[in-house]
Amino acid sequence: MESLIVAFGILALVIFFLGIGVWVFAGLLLVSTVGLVLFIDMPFHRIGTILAPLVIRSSTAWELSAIPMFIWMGEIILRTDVSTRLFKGLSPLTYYLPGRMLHTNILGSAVFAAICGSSAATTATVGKITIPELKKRGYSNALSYGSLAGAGSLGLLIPPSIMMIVYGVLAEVSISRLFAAGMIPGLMIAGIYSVYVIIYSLFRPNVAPADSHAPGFRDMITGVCNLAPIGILIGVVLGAIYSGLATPSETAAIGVAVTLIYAACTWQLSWNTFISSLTAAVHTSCMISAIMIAAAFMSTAMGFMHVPHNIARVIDGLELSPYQLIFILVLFYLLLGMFLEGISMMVMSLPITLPLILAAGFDPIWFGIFLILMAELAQITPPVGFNLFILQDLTKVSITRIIAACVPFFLLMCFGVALITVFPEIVLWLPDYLFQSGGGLP
Amino acid sequence: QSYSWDLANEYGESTIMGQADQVFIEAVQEASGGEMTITGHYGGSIGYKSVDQFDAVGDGALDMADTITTSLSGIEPLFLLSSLPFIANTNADAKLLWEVARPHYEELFDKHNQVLLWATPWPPSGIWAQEPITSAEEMKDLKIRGWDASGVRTLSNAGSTAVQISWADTVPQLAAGSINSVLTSADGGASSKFWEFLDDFTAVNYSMALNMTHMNKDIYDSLTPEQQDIIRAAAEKASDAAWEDLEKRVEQNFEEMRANGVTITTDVPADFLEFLRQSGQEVYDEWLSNVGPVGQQILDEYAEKRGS
Amino acid sequence: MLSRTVIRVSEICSGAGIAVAAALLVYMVIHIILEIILRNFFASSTNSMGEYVGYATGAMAFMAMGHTFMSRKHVRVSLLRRFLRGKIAIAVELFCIMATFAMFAFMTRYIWLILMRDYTRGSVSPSLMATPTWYIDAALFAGLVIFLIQLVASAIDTVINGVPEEQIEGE
Ligand code: NA
Ligand code: NA
Repeated sequence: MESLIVAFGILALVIFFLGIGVWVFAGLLLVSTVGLVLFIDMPFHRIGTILAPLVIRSSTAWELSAIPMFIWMGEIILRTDVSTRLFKGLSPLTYYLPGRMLHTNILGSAVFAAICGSSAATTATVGKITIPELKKRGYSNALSYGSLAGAGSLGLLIPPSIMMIVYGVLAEVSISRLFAAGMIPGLMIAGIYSVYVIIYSLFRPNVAPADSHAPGFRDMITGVCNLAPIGILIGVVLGAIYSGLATPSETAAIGVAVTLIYAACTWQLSWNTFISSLTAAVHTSCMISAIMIAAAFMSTAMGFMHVPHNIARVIDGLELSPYQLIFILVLFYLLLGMFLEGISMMVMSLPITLPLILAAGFDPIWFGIFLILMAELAQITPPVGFNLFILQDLTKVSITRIIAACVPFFLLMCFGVALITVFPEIVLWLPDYLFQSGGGLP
Repeated sequence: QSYSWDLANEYGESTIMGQADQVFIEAVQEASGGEMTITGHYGGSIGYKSVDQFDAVGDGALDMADTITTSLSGIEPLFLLSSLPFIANTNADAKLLWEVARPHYEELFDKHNQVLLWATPWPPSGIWAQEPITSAEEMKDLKIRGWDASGVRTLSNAGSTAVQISWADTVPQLAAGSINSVLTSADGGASSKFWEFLDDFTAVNYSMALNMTHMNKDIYDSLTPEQQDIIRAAAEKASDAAWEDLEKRVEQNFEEMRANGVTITTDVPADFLEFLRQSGQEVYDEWLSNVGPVGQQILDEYAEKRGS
Repeated sequence: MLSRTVIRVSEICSGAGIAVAAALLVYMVIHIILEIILRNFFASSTNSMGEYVGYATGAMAFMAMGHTFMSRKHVRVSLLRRFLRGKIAIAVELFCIMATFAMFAFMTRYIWLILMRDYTRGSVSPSLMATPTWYIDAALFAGLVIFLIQLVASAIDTVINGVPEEQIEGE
């Protein structure tokens, strides 16, 4: 019970500091500091000695270095014809599909997720390209924001994924199996979003206005050709991962290099482009890193307040059936996810929840995917949701409108969680198929 | 007055260290009648890495922590002792070395405002590869991941291509074939299911690192002698459990590995071991010059008591 | 006069900070590409990639913090601010800046203590590279100082010129 009071106290602090307009990264640090003083009476000196080394450690983590590089790659893409061609190409190709280019957010995120291990970088990169284009073409803002926030989080689910690597190390399960396990659920979530967009557009066609005339066969061919540059970039990066040339955490550097080479070879890389892409990338990644560092401290502060411990002890004492346990854990992670960023949330809670899950007979690979879905939900739940912040940065629209736009996609993802719980085969089929037959394809 | 402390451990609750901490926590809880409670934060869940835990405990940010000492070698070189190449061949050796060095470790902890409670051994490390590795010739074919700086240097001197990469990158690089072997314990390899890529484990017993559990000195000193006794007795209990657990772990790991088709080579030719030991000489020499006369003093006393 | 000097100094510092940050981002890409080439074609390694690229990530974030703030690229939530005008808006903005300043001054003080300790004690990283740990402390500390100067400059700017327009759409 005490932990619930603490949780509500933290909520009040978050609403106060973020609501009054303190920058998110500073606000989270203030919430954690004030929380430690108020709720467990920790002296300031001790908070300082906790804070400083954690800041140093969490900001210099190798696992997070991919984020700025992927963001830079996106900034270069944005300044070349790659992104405009992407839209020129998809415009005729999606003409007859209800929802038309609204699918670019979903498709673009799913494809970018296949080369990028972080969902913040996926959302920031895809959104930089799609949001202005969709707006220019008069597409529904709500659907365009919501589908980006929802699908951008696929960066964690579709391999490679930073979070899967961290989970694999912590839970002692095979990372290759985890990667395989994320594939089908990732495509499934993308599919659910697309179906939603299609159904919505069938009833309200004006959310996705036509581009002008109906495209003919020749337009289709031109369309495919326009997709070639992005295809090449993604092909090279995927090739580097799956040929074993680069590890998933290194692919971002390959992505930047290939994009730079492409831009140079097509005479699109001026000194100005280079510098402006670099500056924009540094700004965005500084913004994201600062929040991540603050989120890491918040997670530690919650640990010192014993929030996850106490809640888990309560759950443990309830003697739940497996489905009841999952239901309670969904609530637990939704609550944590309101405040924490995905990886911190996982690292802090896993030592407590994993034993519960294993005792109830769930597969650890399955639980990894479940956790990643919960982390994706955390990306779009207020008051602290990474994709919400990134969207606010991209669109400059008030946070309440972005939250509203995310609601349907939040519910769809919850539906996805229900699906994998009732049908765990969605998660486990592919890794079992790939790895039981001696490692290779049969 | 009742106490509530936090104990941080970068490793999981099911590891030898985590289990020992659990023994300690329960013993303290029981002996103090619930007056002293300790919350264990495993798997790095409180946000600390081992390398930060030392100062965190000294400064009082953390009340206590269970820390792998190799990570502290950049602060105090003496902490490298237990993971020097081939310094201890058997569990008994490792324990003897720990007992010989314990007063010196205690001095170091005291210098940094903390109290050493007990040490937990890591299972001995060996070479995970596609073939048994039993000759200097075979070392040349290895592209191997060493887990610390000493390991990388020893393996390089032995003719292998040794790299230092993060644990998280190890499995992807194994899968990709950019490395074809790993220097780690049976336990470490089993926890990451190395048998998906590697079929052999050669138990060269490279080294047995130590984890140490340490407590903030101000807190310890503020306790009554009876309370300090409770802590000491619980630490003793945890230590016994840890060394006992070690034997069982290695057996269990070997069983699980065999079940997954891993061939375990425990019979390593003496001349090959001697070759490996020679390859690690540089690490010894450098360590001795870093740590000062106390290093040789410990080594001598250890050699004498070991009878070799 | 003094206020204009402070603003000018902060511009120079923040500009220098982001230049360093940008260089670090380029460096990260080069180091990783070098590592990939060494590994795949020369069976070799820099043996420092994870460590140095990690340092660069942290140093980059902190060095860029001032300029990112000056350019108003740090995210904030716009629940209340949209409804505020004039003096109240300035007061709320100053509160936000001061709260941020207090938080980061606090952090900077403790990073300084770590920097001093690592320096006097000569601590190095427990890796093959044995990098003195005060290097990274110093980089973060420098970034924080730039950020604090920028906060002071932004507070002065707010008093003189009012709350800067951040394009936030109405409902
Ligand atoms: Na991904
Ligand atoms: Na959230």
